[in-house]
Amino acid sequence: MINKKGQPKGRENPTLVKNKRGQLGSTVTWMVAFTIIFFIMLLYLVGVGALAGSGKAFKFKDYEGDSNVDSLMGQRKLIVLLNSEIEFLGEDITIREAVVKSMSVYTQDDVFLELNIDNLDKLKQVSWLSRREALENSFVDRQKVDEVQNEMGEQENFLRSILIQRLKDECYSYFFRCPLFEGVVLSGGIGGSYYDYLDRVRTKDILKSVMNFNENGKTFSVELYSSKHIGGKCNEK
Amino acid sequence: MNKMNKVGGEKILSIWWFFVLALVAGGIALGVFMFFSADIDVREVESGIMVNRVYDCLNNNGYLRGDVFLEDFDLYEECDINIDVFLEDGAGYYLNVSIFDGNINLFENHSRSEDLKTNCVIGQGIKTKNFPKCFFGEENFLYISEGVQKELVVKVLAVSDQKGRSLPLL
Repeated sequence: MINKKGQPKGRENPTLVKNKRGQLGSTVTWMVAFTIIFFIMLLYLVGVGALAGSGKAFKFKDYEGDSNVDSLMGQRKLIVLLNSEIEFLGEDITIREAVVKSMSVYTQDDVFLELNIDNLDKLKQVSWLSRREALENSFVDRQKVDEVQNEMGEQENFLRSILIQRLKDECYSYFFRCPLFEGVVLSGGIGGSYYDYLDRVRTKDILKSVMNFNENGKTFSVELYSSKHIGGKCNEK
Repeated sequence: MNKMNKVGGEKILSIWWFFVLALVAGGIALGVFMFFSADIDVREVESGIMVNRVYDCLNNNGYLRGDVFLEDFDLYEECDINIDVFLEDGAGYYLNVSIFDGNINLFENHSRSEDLKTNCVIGQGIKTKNFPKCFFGEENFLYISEGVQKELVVKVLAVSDQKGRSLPLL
């Protein structure tokens, strides 16, 4: 509505709205915005409905198959294992004591200092030659070093054989880790990396349990991973 | 005059603005209501917790606690479990604890509602919706008998039919 002078009609009658085109534009913008927001809200409601309906939002840790990482069950298994009495090279001791005994040389102050590590969990990273060097620097007498190493080797092998025997289970696969060795527990021995274990068990339902030791102020840990075999008679309901 | 025009424009816009506000507020309220009014099934988790509780109560540093085989041993009292919910009529819970030395059953304690156990077993065999859920545990505990260390098998079965309710909004 333009008057003769090219002025908007609103100039003569101020109550009339002048900028109709601007208002139309804003209204259209808001209509579009409203539609977009409406569909976003619809999507939100569909999402919430799906979550609430499927129950996934309320899914707690899966208890199916009694296996979940860091569970109490795994910790109890490790405690029972470590407290089990065995005959270790002629002595009746627990597996816990056998582990400590096998580590006893490395927990000695002078040997530990020579190893140049801050905790005994890193012992696996120290090469055989460096370990030998640390023992030679600590014991001076080479014959003594040979004796100590032979004894340690014997203890380690015996410990391995005990673990193979104790962790023989038709329903579970185990991975054992201590500063001296680590590996998948198989009927023929203990070997392979944790990735080999994962590849073997093919499940994420792994119970991890850890026991910390403190001997002569030196700390190290023993870890046991266990996983139930998938399918078969172990999972029959 | 310009001011008046602006006010007019805002009046038209405010309708849409109101719609958007109402839509967002209503949508959020409806979403929250839908989420919190969904059923929460805790039966299996509850059974698992119950089994773990019994194991932790019977376990003493890897050993089976010494007083289990005494005549006056009260599993529910020692494990701090409310016995009433197991023994009342139409109980929603069932608990069975048995201890074996090889094939010899040394200890057995179970609550009343055997039907819950049966229904749970059926529920595991076929697909059901409202059958009770159970959790079964089998663990080895150490035990010293006549100076000799033994490994006893402790089996615990917990069944729950307490499906739970919707979370209250207020």
